[in-house]
Amino acid sequence: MAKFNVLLVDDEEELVNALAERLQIRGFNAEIALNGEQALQTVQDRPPDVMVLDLRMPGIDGLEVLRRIKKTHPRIQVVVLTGHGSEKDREIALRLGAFDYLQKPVDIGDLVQTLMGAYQHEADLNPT
Amino acid sequence: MKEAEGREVAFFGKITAAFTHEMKNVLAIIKESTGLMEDLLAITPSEAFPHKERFSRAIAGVQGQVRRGVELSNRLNRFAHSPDIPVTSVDLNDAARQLSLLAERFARLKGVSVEVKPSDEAVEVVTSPVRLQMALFMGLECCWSHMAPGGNLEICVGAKEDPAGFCIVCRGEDLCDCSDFMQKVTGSELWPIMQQVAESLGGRAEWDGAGFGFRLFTAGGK
Repeated sequence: MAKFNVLLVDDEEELVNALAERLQIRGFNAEIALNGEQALQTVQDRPPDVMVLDLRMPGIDGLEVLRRIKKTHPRIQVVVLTGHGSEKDREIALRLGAFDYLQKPVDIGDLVQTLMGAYQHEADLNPT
Repeated sequence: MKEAEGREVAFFGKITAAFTHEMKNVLAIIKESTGLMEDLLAITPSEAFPHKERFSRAIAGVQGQVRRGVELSNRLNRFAHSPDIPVTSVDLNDAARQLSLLAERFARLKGVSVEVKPSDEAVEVVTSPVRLQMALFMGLECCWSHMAPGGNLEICVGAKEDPAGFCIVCRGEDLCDCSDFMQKVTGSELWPIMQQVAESLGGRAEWDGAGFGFRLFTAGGK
């Protein structure tokens, strides 16, 4: 599978930094954004293949980021990773087009599998 | 008054749930930070770091505690969400499993284990999730308080009962005199309070004359 770009969006800076390093060790190009506004700006400048998105963030929250991304960049696959999730949030996120919905803390192996699944899903939908 | 009490319980639940969510963030940071250490150790040659093995063991210990913390947070989170809807449809199998997890630590301090024998089919009743858990917990507490270490409590979910409910069975080497045990349990300070809680649900709780344990019926009790 080709090396692809992952954007990690979470206001817990230590968490995204550690996750980004762990993904880089595994061969991913991982970038971070610490809030919704930063995430939307990064998507404009350097759209990732897959986004890992927290839901509860100050400012523009995760569901709103997801809503806007799916409108402007529908090919970006979004994996929700949250510690605040409820069954209702899960339903809304999946309805808005999230590829998957994971709970914190996540096993790195499961996250890698999900990211690869999301990338492959997009490749299957839009073969080049 | 009842409405105010309901709001108080909901308030406690909301705040507790919010903190369990934050605890998950803390645990996630510890997990990923130690995971990163583990990754870096894995690519470090042993000769370059003489304490590699001891370090790995220490990381494994921290990660084990993180898993424990996640499990505890999940249990507390589910409990904290119980008052979200004051009266709702509850699957008694789920309620028994959840309550056994919450009661596990209390029972363990007495040396007693708690098990669930679920019904083969889902048993849905419309009730107050908080009061149902409270009644079941109080009933179990009445039992384990008078059981010797090594004993076992089984929560059986009765699907075919009319009305649906739980049958709690106590086992232990010291349990040989049914009448003596019944007197101790039903003579507990908590027992009549538990019965009142059961009645407030429209149900009832009664000693099971056929064995060592009691029955807790939900709404519509005969």
